Amino acid sequence: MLREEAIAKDVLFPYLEQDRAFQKVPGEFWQTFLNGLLDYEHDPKPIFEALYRLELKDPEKIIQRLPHIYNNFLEDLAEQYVMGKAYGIVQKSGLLKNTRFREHILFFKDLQNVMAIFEREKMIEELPAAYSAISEEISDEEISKLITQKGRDQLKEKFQTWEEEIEMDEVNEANEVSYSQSYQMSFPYKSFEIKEEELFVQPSAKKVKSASSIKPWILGIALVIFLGFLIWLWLR
Amino acid sequence: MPANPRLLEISDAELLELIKEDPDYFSIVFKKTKDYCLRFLNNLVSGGRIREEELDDIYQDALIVLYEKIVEGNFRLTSGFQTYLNSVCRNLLLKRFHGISETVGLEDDDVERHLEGQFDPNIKDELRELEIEENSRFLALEKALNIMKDAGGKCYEILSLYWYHKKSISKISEHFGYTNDVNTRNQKSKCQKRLRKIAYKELNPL
Repeated sequence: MLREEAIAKDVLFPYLEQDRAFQKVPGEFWQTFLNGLLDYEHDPKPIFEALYRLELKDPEKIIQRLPHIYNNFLEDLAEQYVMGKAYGIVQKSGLLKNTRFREHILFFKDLQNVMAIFEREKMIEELPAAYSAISEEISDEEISKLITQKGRDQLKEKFQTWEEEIEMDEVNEANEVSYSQSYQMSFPYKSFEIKEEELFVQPSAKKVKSASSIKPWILGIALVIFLGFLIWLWLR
Repeated sequence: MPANPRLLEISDAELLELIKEDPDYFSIVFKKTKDYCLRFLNNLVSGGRIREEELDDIYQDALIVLYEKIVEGNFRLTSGFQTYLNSVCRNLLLKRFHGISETVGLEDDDVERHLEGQFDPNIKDELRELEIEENSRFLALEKALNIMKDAGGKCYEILSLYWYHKKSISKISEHFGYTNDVNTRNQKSKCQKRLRKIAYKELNPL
């Protein structure tokens, strides 16, 4: 749905919903209604016809509210126009000659400018305090996450560069070279030692843990078997 | 509580995303760039014939340029916040002292060469001039907005988030915890109408 059609829908739909016979609108209705609104001051009949076709319980109730609906439409469209949207339809429809529409535009332009005066000043005044507030709000852990993200991104970029360099130098031409070998070959250790540890700390820690936990486990089973064997011998 | 210096380690790319969500994060850019930017400006006017307060003003304007560009979705992070701000500061400085650049010591090619790499001459951004009309209509609206702001409540915040910080209706709903966007749109519309009414009263006192 086009932005302008959505605006037309937003201003009419709450009234349609209040009608007890209202079920749904045919697909082309919103485009017809939008066109009707754009030409409402010259000829309101197309809108009346479109509303009657919906077979509402009380179409007159909505028709009575049309001047209000039309004004809301102009207001919303003017707002979008000032926000830099809906340029095409406004230019095409000739609405810029419409006094009421121009009044809405003036209001929103002024609002945008007055707001910018207020907020620019406020922002500059509050920046130092905002920094302290952020500092209190954000935990050390969260900062670490954000910084690690940075490290990760930088590392990804480095990897990419190294991969390209390797390809160019034809260092990695043999398929037999294992992943760890090629990885070692392409890694400039010193400058990134800490980052590498940060990044791969989890898998390597797991590895160390599992390696160290195997020994006592095997010894335990061996001991149980051995004791069992001694008991069996003694019982015999 | 002293500010956490580790905040300054957050990358520009990460910061950019955070600022889009919460403008308070822009304060980290301010903290990260201010000293260096002012030093850059001081080097640019090596003769020292421009007052510190004026350089401060220029830096603040450059911050506004950057912030507005970010919220409007027009900022592309190509060379980092520091280089961007240095470049805008240079543009603003040249604009402000246009015509008297020699007098204030700005026409020094050697200095520019020396500072090469600290700014990007392709960045031409400047502060968006506001269309301030010194007529009664504009002044009434200014007064009305002040009244609304001082009254407290959510109206001023909703309008500032929408009109200055360019937040979408759904982001505003999220911010206030409103259940749906229709409520937020209605609330915003009511606030605008109220503001109009106050401005009208200011224009036409009984």
